[in-house]
Amino acid sequence: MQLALGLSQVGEFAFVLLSFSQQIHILDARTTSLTTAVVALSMAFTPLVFLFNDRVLQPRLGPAAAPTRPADHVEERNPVIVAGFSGYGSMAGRFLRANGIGITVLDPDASRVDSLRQLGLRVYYGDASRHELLHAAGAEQAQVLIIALDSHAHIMATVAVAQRHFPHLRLLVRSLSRTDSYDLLATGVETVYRETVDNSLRLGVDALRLLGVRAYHAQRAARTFLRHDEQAVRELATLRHDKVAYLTTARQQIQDLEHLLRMDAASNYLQEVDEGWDNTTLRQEALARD
Amino acid sequence: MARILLLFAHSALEKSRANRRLLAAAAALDFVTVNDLYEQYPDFDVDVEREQQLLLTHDYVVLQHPFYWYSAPALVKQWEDLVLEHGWAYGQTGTALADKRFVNAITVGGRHSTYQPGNGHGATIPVIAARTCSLRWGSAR
Repeated sequence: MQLALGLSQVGEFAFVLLSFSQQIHILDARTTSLTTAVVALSMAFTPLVFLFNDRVLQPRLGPAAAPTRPADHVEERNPVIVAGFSGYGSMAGRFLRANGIGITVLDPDASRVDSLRQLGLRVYYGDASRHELLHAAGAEQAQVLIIALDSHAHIMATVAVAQRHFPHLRLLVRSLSRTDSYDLLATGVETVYRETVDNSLRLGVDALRLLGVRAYHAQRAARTFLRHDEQAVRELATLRHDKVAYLTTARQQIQDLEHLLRMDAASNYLQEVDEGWDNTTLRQEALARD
Repeated sequence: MARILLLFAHSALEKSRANRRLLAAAAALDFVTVNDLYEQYPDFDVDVEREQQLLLTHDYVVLQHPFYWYSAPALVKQWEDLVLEHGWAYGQTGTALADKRFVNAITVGGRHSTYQPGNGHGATIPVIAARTCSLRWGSAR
């Protein structure tokens, strides 16, 4: 919208163009001066057009009016509240609904709420980091709060509010990155879900298979790797907690990476993958007997 | 007091009335450790070290499961393959389980009489198991 209104002014380059056109006699003096006046006026009026947009047009045009829109009234009571219904939250929410579990969805993005509603989905506009809204959504009666918001700050704020006002709720929390996970683990939440992890490992499994590794081995290798990585995140979260006062972020990240690479070392990790169905010692024993 | 490890395996416990009751009764006893395998390893990633530790710290091992295709649900086989390692459970140096007692607790979807000579399956369960391994049941008694 801002961009569209911005196009209403002609722009300074027109002055250059017009004076040049006059010099090489494409346009006569009268046309040039008239056009120059129009350009100047269009530039003068553009700020007024923006002002009109902000004060009059936008408040009447729906989604962009979000900041002043009151939160929706939630009628239903469900065992699960989902805060944030972008791609991440909606996948988990759809899965629960498909399994017959009622979910109450709160989303802070008004335009998303409106478009999901048009698809026939029950979604309420509201900010889950405000405790009165969680209360209105039935947090007292719910058992589980899924926090799947799009910004880490918003996620952290919601965790804090839920822990303070609704300590009975089990929190399942989306984490956007490894470092975000450290913050979340530090709040005492155990069920933290790094959003890219499972998916990139699935890709890794497919890559191994394309290179000729047997499917079951590739899958076991990925699951073992995931367990190692989860363990590493938890170790690093504690280490960070101790050192955060005197280490710079960049240096910390290098140290984290070193720690991870040590944990990935083949001696450590592959041994665990290969343990299953290994018949080396059995063969040795049989050969020794012969 | 002797400690009992109950290795329980059911791929759809929510559908089994008998196993639910047996399990609830066993879980109420403080000398019984219930190890619900399908609950513990839904992805079949058996934690070998944990399982071996459990075996070492108990005197009796009870394997409870429904009788599927004259055998146990698939996770029991996965557990056996991974946990009962050569050099630990068997082989020249594999003596970790020596002197432990082992009992099966099996539920079936049929009447007692169908597992009798001449009826249904034509034999008792131990005999069926022994036949599968080309053994003659009863000679050890």
